[in-house]
Amino acid sequence: MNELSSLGLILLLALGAGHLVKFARVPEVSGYLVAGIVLGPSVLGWVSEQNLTALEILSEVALGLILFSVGTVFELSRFRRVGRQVLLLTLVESALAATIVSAGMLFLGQSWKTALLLGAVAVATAPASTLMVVRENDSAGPLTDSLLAIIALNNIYCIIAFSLVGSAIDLASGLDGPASLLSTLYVSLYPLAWQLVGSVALGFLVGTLLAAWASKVTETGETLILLGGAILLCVGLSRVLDLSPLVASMAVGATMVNFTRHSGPLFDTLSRTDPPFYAIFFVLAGADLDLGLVGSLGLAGVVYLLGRAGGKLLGARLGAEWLGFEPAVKRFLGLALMAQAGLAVGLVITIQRRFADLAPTVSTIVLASVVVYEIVGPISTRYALVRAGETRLPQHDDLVI
Amino acid sequence: MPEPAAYPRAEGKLSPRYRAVLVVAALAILVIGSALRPRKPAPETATPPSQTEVRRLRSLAERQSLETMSRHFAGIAADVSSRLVRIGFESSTGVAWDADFVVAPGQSEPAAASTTLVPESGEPLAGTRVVGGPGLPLSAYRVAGRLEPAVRRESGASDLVPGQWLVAVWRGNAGSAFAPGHFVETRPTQCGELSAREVATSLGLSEPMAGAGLFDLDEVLVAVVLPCNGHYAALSLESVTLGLVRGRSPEGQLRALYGVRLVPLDEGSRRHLAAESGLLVSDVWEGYPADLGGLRPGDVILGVAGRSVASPEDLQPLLGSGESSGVELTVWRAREKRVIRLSPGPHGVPPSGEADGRPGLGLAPPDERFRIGQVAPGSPAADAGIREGDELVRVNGAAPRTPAEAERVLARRGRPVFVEVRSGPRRFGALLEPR
Repeated sequence: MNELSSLGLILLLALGAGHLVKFARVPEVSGYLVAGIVLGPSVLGWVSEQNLTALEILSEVALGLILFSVGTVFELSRFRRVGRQVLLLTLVESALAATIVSAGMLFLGQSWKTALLLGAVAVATAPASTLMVVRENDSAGPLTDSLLAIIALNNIYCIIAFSLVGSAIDLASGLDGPASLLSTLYVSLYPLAWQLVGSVALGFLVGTLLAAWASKVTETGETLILLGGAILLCVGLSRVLDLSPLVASMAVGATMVNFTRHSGPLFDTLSRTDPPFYAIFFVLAGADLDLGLVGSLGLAGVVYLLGRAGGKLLGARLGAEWLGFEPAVKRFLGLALMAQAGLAVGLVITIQRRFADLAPTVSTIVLASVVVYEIVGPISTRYALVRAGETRLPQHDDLVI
Repeated sequence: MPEPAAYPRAEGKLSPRYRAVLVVAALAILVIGSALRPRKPAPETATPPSQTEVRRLRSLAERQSLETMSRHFAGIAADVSSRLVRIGFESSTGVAWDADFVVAPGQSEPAAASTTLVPESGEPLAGTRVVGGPGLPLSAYRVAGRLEPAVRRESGASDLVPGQWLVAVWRGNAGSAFAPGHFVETRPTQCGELSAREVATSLGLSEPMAGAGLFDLDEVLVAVVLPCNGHYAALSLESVTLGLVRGRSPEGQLRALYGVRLVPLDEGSRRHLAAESGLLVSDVWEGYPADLGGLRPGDVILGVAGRSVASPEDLQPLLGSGESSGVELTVWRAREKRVIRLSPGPHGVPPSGEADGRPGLGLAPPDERFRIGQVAPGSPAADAGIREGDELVRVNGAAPRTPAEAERVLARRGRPVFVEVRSGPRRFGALLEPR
């Protein structure tokens, strides 16, 4: 089947699946993912590996748009007020998840390198599916407020933790002398600084461009062109410069929301036109999931699954208690943080490149548990939002970021 | 967040100048940071292959292509080996010239008139020798069976290009063997008494390759490896055909059956030998029936089986039969008639290796050898084909007792002298007439 017919099938089946799952009180995202799993190589094979590769660019665009939306939670005026607490809460929750996973791996007899790498990967949370659940349910409230910021921070923490663990492994395995110590540190830590600072700088530049131009553009179509161009430019440039498209796209959103008053119409346009992209994104993500991997989960995989879930739940609970968050956050934040997807898979690819000897164990565990988290995560997030009472009636067609 | 936070109240937060500074700073971060990036983010993955590694890979690739070539040649050898047979117990090969006709190397010594030929299929076939004999580099067998003919296209060696690949394929005792080589040129060569064209290649031809077929990459036979005056040469198909025609002529058959060559008497011999008519025995090959029956160069055959002979056509009784009783010849020697009985074919042929004993030879070889040390170029001796290193056996029908006697006879001026000379297994006679 060629790319266009795959794409058509993807869109129509995603819509159908989205309708179907509403009866089951399951987020649309889960419907898209299931449609993807069914269409993909694991089940029917109508969307082949080649189709997936060819359509990957659409996924990247969609992810850029999603992260752009996520970035808008960093509105300075608001973030100044709650920022410190959110940062700390995220730190507690991330650290606990990482610690429990690493400890569990060490307990199972894995090497410290494997244990620490898995701990770092465990920090990541899927922004896309969480955001989609928030949007679909039009949810708003203290939990929703802090959830998106925490998810954004989670991924930044994950990148930092992964880089630190990576350089520790580099240092431990390739320590030949003082000169090589310096160069090892440079080689393994510079990318971290570069990915954070450089990505923010790139996102800031693109965001400034977008903000400046947005004031001149009023027509919906033109707004869309501007937005699409900016996001594509941002994702493309970050690939060229070895930056993190995730951080850069979030930085575009953050810049927009802080520097221009014209972002309102822009986001209106975005939310009206981007659903097809998201449908494609999640169906492709589902097609990319290899159901067969769940069978290879093994004891270590179960420990990773439970350790990460336990760490997030416990960390969110304890952190929220300690920092005095609202009851809804205390009780349900952890449940809303279950989803894990793209970033974890991306890190696995990095591990395969950088630490080939550790890759087999880590890949099996992470890729298999991503299948589980990707399906369970949105359902869990929806449950948390509903229980926290932050979902609104579906007919209320308001914009929520 | 009941009211959308996405409608920011951002105006007035940053002065344009501050914003410009931020933009410049971000640009600077991107430019400088990009320049400072480590070129190899993961040193162990991006190490370029070392020089030795490159060399090893290259040699591996080359070796692979050579192995592919060898496989190709082996494929050709496997394809054509059904057109080759192994000759009896000798370690030589025969080429299936036709469905029931096999060309094989000629034997230097008398050989049995029939042998078994083993084709690739393994079922031995009986072969009767129809061409062969001394002086011919090839022999040929008629087989009772059907073979796959190797000769498909008579184009032969004419369209060979120097440097092109040729594959010699032969049947060893352990299956078929092959050796690839390059074509160099075709050049004239002398193989026994056959003036042939040799297909010269880069191959080193040796005894196990006797009878091998030389094939081009289209599996077309271009030459046959045959013994050639002490070495081996790949003779073109035209030369092989010429040899076959020679071998099948009455003269060739006579030679193959009896190891003798007869020539019409010329005026000088007639006078010298005092013979009126008949055929002069010019060559006798050792170990063949003529030799064993006592025929020697200088004899004149007057009659066969009671009928007088004047031309080679009159020798039909010698060729036609094959009766074991043999045939009686009336021979003129030393101005006397005598009768010599010849038995054709394998009868009386000594097994090879015992040929030195030469039982039944009329005259014992002289104790002292009369090696010819020098032949003057352009002399009658040179014209008669006498070469340095040949042995003088008889002069005017009598074996000289001492070198001095031989020299004295030869030195007699003004008179023709008939000499009998041994050159390898061949004894030949020549009338040397002074000029």
